[in-house]
Amino acid sequence: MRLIYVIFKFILFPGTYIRGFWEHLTCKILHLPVESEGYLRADEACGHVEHALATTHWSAWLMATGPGFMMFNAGMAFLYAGVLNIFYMGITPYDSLGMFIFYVVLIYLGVSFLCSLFPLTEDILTYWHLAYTEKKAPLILRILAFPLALVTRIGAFFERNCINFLLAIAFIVLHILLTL
Amino acid sequence: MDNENLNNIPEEENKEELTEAVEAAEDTAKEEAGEAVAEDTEDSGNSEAEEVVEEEEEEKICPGCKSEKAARGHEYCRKCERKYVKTHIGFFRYVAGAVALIGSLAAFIIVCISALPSLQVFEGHIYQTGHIMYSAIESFRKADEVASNVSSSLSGLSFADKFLQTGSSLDNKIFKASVKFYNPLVSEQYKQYIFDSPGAAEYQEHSRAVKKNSEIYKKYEDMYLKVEDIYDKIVNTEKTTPEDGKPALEELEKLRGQEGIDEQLLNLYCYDIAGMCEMGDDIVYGYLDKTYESRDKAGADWGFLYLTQYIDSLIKRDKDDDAMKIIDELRKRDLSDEKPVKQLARIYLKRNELDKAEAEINNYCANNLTTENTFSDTGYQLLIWLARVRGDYDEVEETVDVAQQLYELIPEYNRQLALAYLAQGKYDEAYEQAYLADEKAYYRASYYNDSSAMTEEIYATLYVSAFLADKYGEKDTENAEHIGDIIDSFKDRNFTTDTVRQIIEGKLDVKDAVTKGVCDLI
Repeated sequence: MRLIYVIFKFILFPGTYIRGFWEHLTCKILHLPVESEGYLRADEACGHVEHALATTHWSAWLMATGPGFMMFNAGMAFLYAGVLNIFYMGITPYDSLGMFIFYVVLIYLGVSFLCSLFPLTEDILTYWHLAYTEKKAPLILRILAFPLALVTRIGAFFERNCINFLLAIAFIVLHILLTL
Repeated sequence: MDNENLNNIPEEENKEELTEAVEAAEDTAKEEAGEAVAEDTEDSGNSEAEEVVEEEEEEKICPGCKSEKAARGHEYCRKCERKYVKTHIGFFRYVAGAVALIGSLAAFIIVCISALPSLQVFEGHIYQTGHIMYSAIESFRKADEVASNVSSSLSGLSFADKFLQTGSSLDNKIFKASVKFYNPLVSEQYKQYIFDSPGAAEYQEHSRAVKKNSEIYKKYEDMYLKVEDIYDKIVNTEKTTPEDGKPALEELEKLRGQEGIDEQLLNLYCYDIAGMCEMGDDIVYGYLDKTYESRDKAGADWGFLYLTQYIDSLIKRDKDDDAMKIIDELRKRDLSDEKPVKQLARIYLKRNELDKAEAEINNYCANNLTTENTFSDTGYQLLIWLARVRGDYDEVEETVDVAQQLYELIPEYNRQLALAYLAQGKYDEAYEQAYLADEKAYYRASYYNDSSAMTEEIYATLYVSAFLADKYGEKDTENAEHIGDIIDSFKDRNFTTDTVRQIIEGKLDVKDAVTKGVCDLI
């Protein structure tokens, strides 16, 4: 599974690299020590930076969701800029080869960003532990953050097992089938 | 990375060190507490000692090595920070992050530009999923129009045009929907009009849908042309007596059930021929019923060609409930279509439930406002109709005045006013308005190539008005001199309802006809 994970991460290297950058920047902002800062590595932390675990619920929350928020916004913009033009506006290579390739690249970028959406499992588990086990976060914040924390926890599991990549492929195939 | 790895000290040792430190702090606190407080107040001494322990704990211990105190204002001790905190981010990484950010903003702008036409296509997909193919085709076609509108409103941004182009794949969607909606054979004939985007000619050669349809066309072409030949013979030769219609219908009946013949389409041709040849209501309505019944068997949906007439026929035959079911179906397809609202209002009029008719009409008007926030031309038609059947003739005149200022060439306004005058017994005025309505319809047909306004209703109103003006009027109006010619030209015409004839023959009161929904023509 680790090999498949690393292969997918390298195939989708733009998202992998940028995800590493946002995580690194978040660590810098939160003054969290970073042990290993390579973004494209052949191990299970590929696309992430190895860092000390956060000690407060707030920094744990930012570490778990902050980089993902940036990746989500950029990924959705890239993906839909391509999807709308190819699958809805119906641009084909016969209409304009250049524009078609441009939109395909946008879809690739979108998928690569969205496949690096979630943090390492350790990051979201740290938040889970601090907020829900040790109850360090105020009740209202725990309630408000719960849906996103749950999604992030499931998403981290999906990402570790490459399920999100399969979902992205299914999304594209479905659109192609609807278009043909 | 866990805490154990951070300082290379086993976690258990860390815990022991921390426990010792806490115990030592507790001891010190107890000693201090013992000096400060009286011996007999042991309980209060303990609580103060706990406070001191808390103060000690507030001084942060570095989570990295767990032995040194964290530097002031920092999470970690200086030693750990030097050793582990590699927060320096290289220049190239910042550049990559900035490029991603700027790129995503640019992509977001493309999404915004393409969103409206794409939503239009999405609407088409929804209709397609619900098998409402006519609306799906309309939505797909409108995407191009919406893209042009967005493009013109962003005329300052020349780059936007590149992202507002629709392509051959959208044409393919229209083609596939038209195959299902019309007929594979009709779609094949109109293929060149559907594929009109720049790369469409080349795209067609590779389209699976086009290839499949061409095969069907080749297979059924001869059969389809036979049906059209029979129909064309009647239309082109203008032999429209019942005797001419009978052999044509027999020929069409022979084709029924043969491979390549669309049952619904065949019935529709039969209905048209029976109607043209005036073969009587039973035969005409019979074919209309058959057409509607065969729509589920057919692969295509020809409803837009006959459903309005079918509803009218149901209302005439007092099958109001069946009519209302189909009206509901029609309204789901296209909310801007006023015909179903008109028919529904007529049913309510028959049932003497004008409040419901008013609610429907008001609802239609509110949902179909123009961009200037005024009622649409059809909205005004419905409001004038409502005022007329209620007998509010002053309101009819006022609304017609307002509507005519906004929409000059709508014959229906004059026709409704003519009916209002007929109901009041003002036959000369009625005739003048009917004449004007006819003139406007003719003008539209001649100058705008739009013959949709030249309807049976216009002719029936003109004929009845001219006849009554001739019989009871003063004949001193502007166009009175044409009354005789008009009566002569309509004398032998067969209107699709007997009520016109009944009014002329004096068997039906004109006021009843125009206010109680007895006659749909006037």
